[in-house]
Amino acid sequence: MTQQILIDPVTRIEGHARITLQLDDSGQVADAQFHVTQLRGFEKFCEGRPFTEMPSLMARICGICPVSHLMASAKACDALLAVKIPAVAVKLRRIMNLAQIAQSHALSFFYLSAPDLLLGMDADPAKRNVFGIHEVEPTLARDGIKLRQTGQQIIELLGGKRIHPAWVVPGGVSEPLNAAKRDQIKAMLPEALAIALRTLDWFQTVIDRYTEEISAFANFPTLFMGLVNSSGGLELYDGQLRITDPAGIPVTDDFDPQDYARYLAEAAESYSYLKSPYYKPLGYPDGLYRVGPLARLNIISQCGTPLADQAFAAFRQLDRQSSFHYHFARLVEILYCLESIDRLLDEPDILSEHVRAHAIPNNSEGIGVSEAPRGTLIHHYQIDSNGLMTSARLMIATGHNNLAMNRGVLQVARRFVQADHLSEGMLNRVEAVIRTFDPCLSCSTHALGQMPLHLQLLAPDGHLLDEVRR
Amino acid sequence: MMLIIGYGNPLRRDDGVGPWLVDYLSASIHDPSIEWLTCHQLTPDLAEPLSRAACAIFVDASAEGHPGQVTCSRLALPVDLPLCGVIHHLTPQGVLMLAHALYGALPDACILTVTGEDFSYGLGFSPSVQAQLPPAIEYLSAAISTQALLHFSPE
Repeated sequence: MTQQILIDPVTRIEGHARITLQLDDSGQVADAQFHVTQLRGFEKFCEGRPFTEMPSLMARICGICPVSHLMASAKACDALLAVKIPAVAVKLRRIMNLAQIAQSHALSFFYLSAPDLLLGMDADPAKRNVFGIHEVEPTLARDGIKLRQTGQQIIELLGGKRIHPAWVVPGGVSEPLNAAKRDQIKAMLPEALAIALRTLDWFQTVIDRYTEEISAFANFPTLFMGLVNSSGGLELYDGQLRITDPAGIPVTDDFDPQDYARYLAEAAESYSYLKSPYYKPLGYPDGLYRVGPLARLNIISQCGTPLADQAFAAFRQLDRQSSFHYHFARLVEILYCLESIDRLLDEPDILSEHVRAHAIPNNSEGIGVSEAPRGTLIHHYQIDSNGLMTSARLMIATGHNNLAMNRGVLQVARRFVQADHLSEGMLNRVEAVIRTFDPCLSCSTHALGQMPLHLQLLAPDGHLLDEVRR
Repeated sequence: MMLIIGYGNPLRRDDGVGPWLVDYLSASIHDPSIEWLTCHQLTPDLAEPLSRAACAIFVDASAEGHPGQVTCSRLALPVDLPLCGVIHHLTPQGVLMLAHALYGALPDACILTVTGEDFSYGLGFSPSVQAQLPPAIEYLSAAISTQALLHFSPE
């Protein structure tokens, strides 16, 4: 008799989703599906709007990573204008993007995943939150708040507000940086760096507790994709796209992000509103690949800043196929972001007032690609002769990981779930593998209200056999 | 230090009354002992500025009561606030609990609410909320001038 286990909603992720586990006649997990259950429709309702509105409109996709959408959208608009934006505008955009990645990684690591990492996968669900962290490691709880606050304050100092700043515009940014704000940002960085280093040290002391999860949390060979700079190093704003095999060897020459459609396509499944991009030459679904911090560190030769490169050397000693190590990769990238912000603020032209190029549309098609916290983000626009949007295609970072997340859920469920003996720890591991990817489902959903875990065990005829809530 | 936090979504009409009140007052009151914050929703990082405050006022829209009703009530630490949802659905009490747990500090706090009736997409307030902005401003101005939470008798 086949049965079904439903985890709905999945907790401590950004947005709403549910997981279905299909059992076979012997009670073993036969299949698993990760469902994104709400449609938002941004690609459709922006049609007919002036392209100049796109950065602000697209930022509304998400309250966690609006800056990432601002970057990709503004870059697509730069391409429509056919302008080369001022060098200092690139640097200022980079600083905001780095701050965004740092604060988002802090949210993922400290708020969402640290309860599992500190208290264990089998801990009481009522303790798996920031209060539970505080009881065991009060410094870790305060550090998480401080680090996220630092990233958000940098965004606010640059863009006027923390969420949905309107400062990144087609052609550059709307306002230059002044000396007072530069000094204010620089003053925050030493403490943030100390927190990042302290957290990395702590995480290295506990990571060995999770050998079983490391071996089973979406641990399989896949392709990896991300931007790289001209020397093959870490790149979060510009550069070339690189796709590598599981060992980090490029499977094709690095390519201009404008050519993404030659290599990537998207499939849709009836059980989810989240699209499933794949690497075209391998077809669907064999062309699955991973993006985000783990992928970015797997495809590069170095980070390019001293502290991040030290941490990167330690990262390279880990099992590069395990999605559990997204957590470690996030900490490496936080270091890189903070060091890079410091470096950019020391650039001699950083206070230059020439921060925006002005033009009328010169192209009918524009593509903008940048690295968001969760991976490569692609905005592809088409406009008519009046500058009105005729088409928008958004390939969201979380979408790139969709196939890998589904396979990861199946791997974890097969390892940990026994249908005749359900436990909180089993269910939490199924959710935790999703959390390693830090999916931002706000990009296709919007979370509202409480997020309890609701698991149902259903017979083939649909009647309820068992139910667990928390 | 007095902390005033206005929260809500300005693009959902009456829901934006909290940020509107804070923006309105902060534009005319320049007192370094007051920290003004506006946000869409309460988040854990607010625990840190809250822990530095002697008193705090949360300013929010409410869906309870009759439209335009202005209410002010003191906030105390709840005995048994469920903790599972604290990240995605923080209440003022939840942020106070965080400030108390993480930093050992608990400001004297209250919440001022204005009951809304129109939470649809768009800018601007319903007539009932618009009409009750003056008493809300009056209370906040008085609290700011005395740097203390005041007894408040709505209507």
